[in-house]
Amino acid sequence: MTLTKDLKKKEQPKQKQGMLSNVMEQFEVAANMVGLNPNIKKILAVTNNELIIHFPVRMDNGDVEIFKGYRVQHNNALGPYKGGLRYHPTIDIDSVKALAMWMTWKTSLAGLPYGGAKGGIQIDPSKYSNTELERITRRFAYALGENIGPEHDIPAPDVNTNAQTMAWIADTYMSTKAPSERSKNQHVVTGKPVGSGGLEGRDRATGFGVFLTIKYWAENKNIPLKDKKFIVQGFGNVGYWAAHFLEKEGAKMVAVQDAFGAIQNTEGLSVEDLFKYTLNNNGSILDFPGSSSVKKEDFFTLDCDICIPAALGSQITKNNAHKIKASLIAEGANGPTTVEAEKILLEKGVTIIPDILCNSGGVIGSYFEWLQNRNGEIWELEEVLAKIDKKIKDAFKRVLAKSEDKKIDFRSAAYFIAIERIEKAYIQRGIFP
Amino acid sequence: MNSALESSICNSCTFITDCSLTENKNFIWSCSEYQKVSNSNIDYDINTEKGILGYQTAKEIL
Repeated sequence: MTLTKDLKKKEQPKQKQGMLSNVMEQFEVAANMVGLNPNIKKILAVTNNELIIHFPVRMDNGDVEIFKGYRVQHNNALGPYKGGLRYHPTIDIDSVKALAMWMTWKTSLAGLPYGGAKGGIQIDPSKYSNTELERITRRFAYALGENIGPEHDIPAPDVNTNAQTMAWIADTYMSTKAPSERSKNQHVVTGKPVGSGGLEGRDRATGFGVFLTIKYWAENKNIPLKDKKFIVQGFGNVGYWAAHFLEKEGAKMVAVQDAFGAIQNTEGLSVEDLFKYTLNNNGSILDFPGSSSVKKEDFFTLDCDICIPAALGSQITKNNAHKIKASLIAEGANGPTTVEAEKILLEKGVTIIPDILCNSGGVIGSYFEWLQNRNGEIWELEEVLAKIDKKIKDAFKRVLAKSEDKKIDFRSAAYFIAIERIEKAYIQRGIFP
Repeated sequence: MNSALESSICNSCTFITDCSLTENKNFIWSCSEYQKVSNSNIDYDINTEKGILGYQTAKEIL
């Protein structure tokens, strides 16, 4: 039984369940598939720590507001907790728990010495000034205190947080230490500005990883990427960089979709020219010279060899899956393929590189930033990309081997490996006392 | 606003009304095109001066 088949069998009205139920259901299916030790399953089914903090911050007008912050640490069997901090009005404890759990599988599959965590503040940052956001961030970091730490729990940017946010957190955290201890705590967060311990190439790490998984899939199939046609949904950090590296290999981007609309040219669209065009077109790809527009409902049905959904979830559904012409889907986004769609695609013989493998370049980049700081080194771009390449290649080969060995699809194989690795750690270490 | 949209990052995205990517904005928790309605400079990416695409805000990089 593969993950998809089993999830399909247990299909329920997911939108009413929420994110946590979905992730828990996915874990239940994967755990059964792996034959996970029942005692370890009990451990992994719950989060280790859930922290909810209410903290006061003085606003620019002198008033004090109370904010709610979260940090959920799901599991640290493989190493320090790792996961982003997001600022958004919709976050709640359940969504943070779900995202933390998902990070555990992702770091495990990537072969990193990390566990999984997530956190954030329930806030709409657009309603606050930059100085207020700095105070909110610093006060939250202070309130988290020793619940984060370079060898304990390492936050990173996520929705509405960025390198600046991480710089504030690092500075606040380091400021709480004795002067002689400060500099060795710089790796309390990753995703920092390059000038403050950040990693060269961190911006392209996720998209580069997407490209690499496609490259290793093609190599395994003896398929040259030159002249292969690809379409990409999302022209942000992930989609743009994936397209950039594919184009360098000779592949042709024939269609793109972003929040503004979709365009195509069957002869190919220049990735770099389109990128420059968006900078002078309010970020939009629309009306790019030499392109024609595409109806959004037709985007995934366009003729191509490789399809890269790199924007958001639930884009490939039972309504468009049977019309997809690509032989490979590389999930740059999180959860772009629904369970029903995946079943249709697998029956058609389409290969899906699952999100937890395909977009893991970002967290791998984070790991190298952490390692760089920890070792007191500064790495050059080529060195960083080579290190990411090696990690992605290893992860891809492990998924491929497991897929062939167990005769299961890539997603099932990825979850298999991720959970199995954690199980192995628990079995070796035992349960205290 | 319905509860499903309240649980979606779409509800603070600048593209909420005319996004080309999705009509179903329920429970979207991650999107590379996400751009908050901005009046602050938290979207200024000091890593890349203008941000990778200049106009864009914080991207999901994990």
